[in-house]
Amino acid sequence: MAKQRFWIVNSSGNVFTLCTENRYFKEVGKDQGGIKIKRVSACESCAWGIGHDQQVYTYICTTDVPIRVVETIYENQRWAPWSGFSNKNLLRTDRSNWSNESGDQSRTREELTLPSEYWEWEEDWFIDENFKGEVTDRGGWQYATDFPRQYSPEPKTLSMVRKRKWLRFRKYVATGKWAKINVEDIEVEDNSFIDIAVGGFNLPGQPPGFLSVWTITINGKVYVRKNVCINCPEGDSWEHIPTDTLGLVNISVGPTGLVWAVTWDGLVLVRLGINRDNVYGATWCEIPYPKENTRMMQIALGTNSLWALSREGKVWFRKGIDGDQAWFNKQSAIGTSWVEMVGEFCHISLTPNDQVFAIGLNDRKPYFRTGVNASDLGGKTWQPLFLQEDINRLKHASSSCSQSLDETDDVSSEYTYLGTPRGTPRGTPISMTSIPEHDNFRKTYTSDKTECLSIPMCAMVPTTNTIFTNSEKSNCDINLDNVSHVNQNINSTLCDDIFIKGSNLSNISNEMENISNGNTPISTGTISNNNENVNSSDVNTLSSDGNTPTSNGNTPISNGNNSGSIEIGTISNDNGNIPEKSAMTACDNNESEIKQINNNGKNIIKTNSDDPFSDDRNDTESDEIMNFVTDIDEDDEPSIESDNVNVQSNFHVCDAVCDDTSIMSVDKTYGTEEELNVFPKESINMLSMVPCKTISHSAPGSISVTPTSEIEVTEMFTLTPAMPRHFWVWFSGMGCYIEDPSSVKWLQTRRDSESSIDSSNIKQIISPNLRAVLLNKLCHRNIVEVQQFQYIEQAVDKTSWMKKSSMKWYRYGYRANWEDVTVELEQGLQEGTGGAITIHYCPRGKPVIMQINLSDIVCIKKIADPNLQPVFKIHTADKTNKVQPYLMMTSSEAETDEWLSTLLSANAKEWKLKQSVKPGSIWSTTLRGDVYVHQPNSSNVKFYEMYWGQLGGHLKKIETSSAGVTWALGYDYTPWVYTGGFGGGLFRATSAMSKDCHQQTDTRTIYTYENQKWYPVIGYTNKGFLTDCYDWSDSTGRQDRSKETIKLPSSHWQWSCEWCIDFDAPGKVDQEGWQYSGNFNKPFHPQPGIRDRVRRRRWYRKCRLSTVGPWYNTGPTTLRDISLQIDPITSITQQIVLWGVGINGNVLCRVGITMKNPQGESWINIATDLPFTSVSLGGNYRAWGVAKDGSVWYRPGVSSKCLTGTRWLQVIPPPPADAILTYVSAGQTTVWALDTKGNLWFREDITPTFPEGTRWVYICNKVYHVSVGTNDQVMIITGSNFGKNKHGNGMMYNRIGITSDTPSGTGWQMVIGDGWQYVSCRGFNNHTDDKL
Amino acid sequence: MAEDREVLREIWEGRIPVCFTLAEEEVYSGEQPDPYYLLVPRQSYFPLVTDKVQRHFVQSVDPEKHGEMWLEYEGQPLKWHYPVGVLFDLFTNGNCLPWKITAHFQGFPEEELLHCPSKEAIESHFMSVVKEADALKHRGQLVNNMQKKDHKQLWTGLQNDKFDQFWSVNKKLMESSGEDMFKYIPYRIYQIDRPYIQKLFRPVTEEGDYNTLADLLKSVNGGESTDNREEVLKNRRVLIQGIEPPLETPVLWLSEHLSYPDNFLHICIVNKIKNES
Repeated sequence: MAKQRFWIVNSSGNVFTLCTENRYFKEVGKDQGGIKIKRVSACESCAWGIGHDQQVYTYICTTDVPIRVVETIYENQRWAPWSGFSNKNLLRTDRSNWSNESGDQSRTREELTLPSEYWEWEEDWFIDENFKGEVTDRGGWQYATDFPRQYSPEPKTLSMVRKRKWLRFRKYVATGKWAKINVEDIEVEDNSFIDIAVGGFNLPGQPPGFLSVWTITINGKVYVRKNVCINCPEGDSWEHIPTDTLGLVNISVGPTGLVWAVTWDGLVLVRLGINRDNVYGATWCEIPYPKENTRMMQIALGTNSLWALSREGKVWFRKGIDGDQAWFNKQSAIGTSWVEMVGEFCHISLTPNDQVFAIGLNDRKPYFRTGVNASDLGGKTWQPLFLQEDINRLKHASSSCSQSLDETDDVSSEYTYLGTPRGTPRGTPISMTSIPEHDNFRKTYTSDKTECLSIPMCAMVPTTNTIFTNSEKSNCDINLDNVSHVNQNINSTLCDDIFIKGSNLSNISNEMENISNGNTPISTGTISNNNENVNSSDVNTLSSDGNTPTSNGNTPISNGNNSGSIEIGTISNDNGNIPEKSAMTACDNNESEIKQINNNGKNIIKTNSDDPFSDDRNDTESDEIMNFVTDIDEDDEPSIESDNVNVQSNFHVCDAVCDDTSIMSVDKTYGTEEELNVFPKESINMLSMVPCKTISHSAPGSISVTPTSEIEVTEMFTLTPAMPRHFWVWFSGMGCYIEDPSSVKWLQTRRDSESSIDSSNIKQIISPNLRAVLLNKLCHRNIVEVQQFQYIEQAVDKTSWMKKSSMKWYRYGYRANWEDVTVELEQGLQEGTGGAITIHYCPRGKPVIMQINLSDIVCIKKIADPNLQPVFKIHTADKTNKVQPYLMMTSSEAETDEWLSTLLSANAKEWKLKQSVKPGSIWSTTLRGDVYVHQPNSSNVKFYEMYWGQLGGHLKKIETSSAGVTWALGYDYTPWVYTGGFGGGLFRATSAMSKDCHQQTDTRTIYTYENQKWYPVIGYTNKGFLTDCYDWSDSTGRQDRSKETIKLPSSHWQWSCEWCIDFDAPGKVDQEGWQYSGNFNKPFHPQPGIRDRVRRRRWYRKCRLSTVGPWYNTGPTTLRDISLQIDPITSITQQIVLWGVGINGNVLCRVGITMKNPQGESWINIATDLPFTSVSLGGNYRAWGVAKDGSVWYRPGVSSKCLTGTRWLQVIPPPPADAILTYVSAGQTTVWALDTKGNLWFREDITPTFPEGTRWVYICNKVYHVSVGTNDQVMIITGSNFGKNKHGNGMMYNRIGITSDTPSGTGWQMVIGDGWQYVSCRGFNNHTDDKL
Repeated sequence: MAEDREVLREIWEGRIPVCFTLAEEEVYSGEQPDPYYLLVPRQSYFPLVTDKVQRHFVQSVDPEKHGEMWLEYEGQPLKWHYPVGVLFDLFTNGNCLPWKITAHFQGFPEEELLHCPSKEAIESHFMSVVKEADALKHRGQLVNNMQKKDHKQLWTGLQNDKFDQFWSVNKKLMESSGEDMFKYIPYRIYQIDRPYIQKLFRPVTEEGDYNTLADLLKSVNGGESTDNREEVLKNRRVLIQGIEPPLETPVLWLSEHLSYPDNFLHICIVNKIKNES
């Protein structure tokens, strides 16, 4: 399962992700200077966002498997008697010399360019010489009589044309970065965006990785990004989706592609007609307001629910939405009614499974809706979240200030990026501030109602307080007007949120009235930049208005900090209102400063010093913190020189020098300076970007700037609570599928999360030292009190203890049946002192006793049939040999588990269950997914005497190596690595039978077919008599499998979704998922033919298991095959080679695996021309692989130093009779392979000088799996009725008679059966046994 | 969840060598019978293990005056409904081995001891304490959800000194992860000549830290200032299961591992042994 990430955006435009398995969040894309993101909409593999410049960006999460696309071009030629094959002979009706495969498009190698700057070519064009698994010589040419005919690798007499394929790979190189999406095909006035939403990843019938990407431009138009898929992560074009005359401000896309949107008027729209053929739908449908005067602001779609926020922050829940049905059923898309929920929020976000996250309207804190599940989508309560940043990030500084250090870097780089660096000396103290806690701050200011302008934007941040001049005040008003006329506000980007939030606007206006009359010619409105650009538009309006004497230049400043490109009025002096002088007062004493301010009659904002940052202040005597922000350009460069003054050049993050003396010196400097600019806004931005930083280094004084101008000199200062880093403005949960909220650490309340830390690990409650002390004391106590008195009689006589219950057991024979028996387990007192199972039964009324010694049992396992869950098998050597294990059925599955657990503990010593699995063991999995290990004993045993002990975990494939490093794959293709622990599973992690166990999850998909038959008049129906199959069946039609009767594999599994029609069933399906055929024995095809009489469609349902086992998850990269080297290693630090095949056929190699570090570090890609299905590493690091088309490849040059080898060589010839190989296992010298039909093949004549061998030799059929070991030992898992035996599915056999003369062996010897799925004997070494 | 089997085993294996003698004044048939030596499990209750003792002494006492057997140590009647280990820690200070206990068949101290009519009485006492403990830990949910046979298995496990039998059920009661986090710690503090102390005490502080044994003692001593407490503790020993756990040990861990089978953490505060200090 891919990583589940919750995406968060803070007010500074930083983006963070929080993985469900982690406790802390991490910043993403921070190395990319400058790009700040305002909004994010994410899915599992990527995120789309709106940047500070209102452009669309996409962030493709870095994966181990690169995005690699092959471009193919065919070169075509025709034969002519006079010149042979040549492109000149092509007829006019022929395809052109260079074309695509079908020939309908002409394309040349030169014309084919990379789709965007984020792609790179891997190498130059080359000819593909592989033709259906064979190598075509003669330059890769394929011949045919004409172009649209069958091709063959050999020229024949009638071959008139030939073609060959050229390949070139290109790679997407911008993973882990924000990549800007091209907007060339959008008209210029539309190419700024205000909202984006992605979803649709669960829409069936789409290419892999498909995403439905919807955006809204500043003009309210809707565009979709088309053709976004795994090989084209950026999409390839924009398409305008008409919205009539309605302008939209917010949009949301569900996992199944459903789209809802909000208009400027707060009206909610739903897109109808979305289905698998028409992913962008057909029409919009208006949804009535829930209440007369309720206007919506934002909506968030999950799969089956929709939550909306009104402009007042009220929460509405839409009932009746069903994402899976929305493709067919309009009502499921529209839902039924609105329900008002409690809480007030300014942002809301849903996960694909309808979990809800929100940001509080007033407290701006993150909230999670508890109790949301499929049956109660509304949930129970809002629970505050305590999100914490990655500790590694914070630990390099003792205080919270550390955050700002990085932050500062970000800021500076950002500015560098955005503007031309001016080379101004840095480190100039321009601002000092203490950051009051937001809440305090707000409170204070509202109560004071002094001259301050506050814009408590819903999205954001604190408040900003500014002293405005009269003129400015009017400007501000104008500006607000502009805000309310969004459409007219062309010049600046407009934020929908702000627009919608009338309440906030009114709030602003109210505050405006409080603006001081102070006559400050140079001051401009300082507006805290929320991540919404409304602020910027405000400012823009202000400054562009031109009425303000001081500001007539618009400096495009990206306040990357907050969001988007914000045009901020910069005070430039070209209209003569240059402040000639500024008085700057710096005080190291807050009180005096405050006094001064009081005298000035300016706004004073009192804040409590209990804010977390204030501890850092040097002077803590005063509980009043003044936040003054002034910005002074001490640079010699006159800011007149350009309207587009780069803000960055004009002020500087105070790096470390905000001490008083430096301030004073600055003051002096200013005294002599001719030009002086004040950039309050920018300062605020800066401050908000570097809140802690500033504090940590500055004395808590403040600077008041009193610029002189022709008119009057007044002080100007602004109060800015800087924005904390963790001030959230936007969430995206679409990439975060939360199966079980209680398992996600950051969703737990603080106390929960701290107390229930991994209960499997006692050391978290008590330190190992303390435990050792206590244990020592106890041991000492027992020595003193007990051991010295061992001669004394025991008070309690010890007897063995028994477990007893009634069961049924299966009696083999002519009249095989289940018989009632009573089973008793007697166990010795001390662990491992033996014991026995006694079975009492009464054949023909006569009591008989049958005993099985625990030490005789070689294996105990449950059987795979989900309908027989309470049945378990007891294998003894004799019974294994006869393939008649004891079958016991208890009354319930729980009781079976208890018995298994007891028996396993009782026999733990025999099976070596209480120790790490040693190198040299044979690992296997059963059809149930249980994990078994045979650890060789010192003495040689016969194969049917081998002990098989169980380990926890649920796995499909296991591969081990001679060094003992063992990897495994789950049913969901997740790779796991063996931790060296034991136990888990039945014992759970908490028992003493377990060590080093972790949570493990797996997912299975269960299928069933719905069958219908065609009758005249009635048409297709399942009513009536289906003579040849059940109406619900397996793929053969012969087994009854109705949806209702299908059981979970065991009671530990849970359904994770409902039954769904599988539109991706093999063989393609029609619009409703049907496939047609003449009868059930014939192949099915997607369109009904005239002779078709039956049709079927496949349904699937996923289920999920959560278990524990000694397995460690190695990351999100999913694999279909793995192989570890079988060559012995010489030191524990030597690198061990592991190759894997990714889910889409990439060959990967794991770096950094050693015995000490079995999980390794990272994957690197091994380039292949074809997608692979299997790889295997044989002796001397010979790597073998099988491609999807059945071609076999050999790669030399692999070693512990060079993990990837040199190059692929194709192994020819392929096996005869159209056998398509799918799996290969390479031993010390031999290579064995399986084909699609279950035939086993042996590669003949492999010699050191000719390592590819000469040909494939058929060995036998009905083989499911083969594993070849270090000494060429071969073990297989067979299908039912293997050979002449009438045994069941999943028998394990060993090849006998393998000698140097007969390397393919002579026969098979049964090991154990049945019910096995996979075996790896690649670590097993008989020779070591012999020595011991 | 209590899962540190090594510790649990060690606790379970705790035995006390006891030397039972018949009270001299009750010897009826001439000679003083030989003392009876027995290794008594700390976790058990005396009436569960003293059948042999009773049989040994019963020939020597006056059949006329023969009543229920009761035990006494240095003049102190031993309450049968306290686990053996608690009685030992509380009265002996751990320094007299084997533990010399006097058996009486006469003069039952009605005011100090409960009668123990049968093993069922012990069982019902034991189960009621287990339930009380679970009421504190999990609001009684776990023990009430158990089947009767699980209750029986707990008891027989204790009675027959079967660690696995007992713990395979008891581990469910000791569940303390996630939702089943202990609400309160079931504990009792014993001091000689005083009734035991039992108060509500949470395993985790408001701040999410684990409360330690020191915290627990502090909370019990209530108003006493820290200095005073330290002063008091200087002359005292805090014994749990016969050992003095470091005061910084989290109480949750102690409760999970050092509780007696009745699921209570029995803490004995005794005077320091003179000759040790």
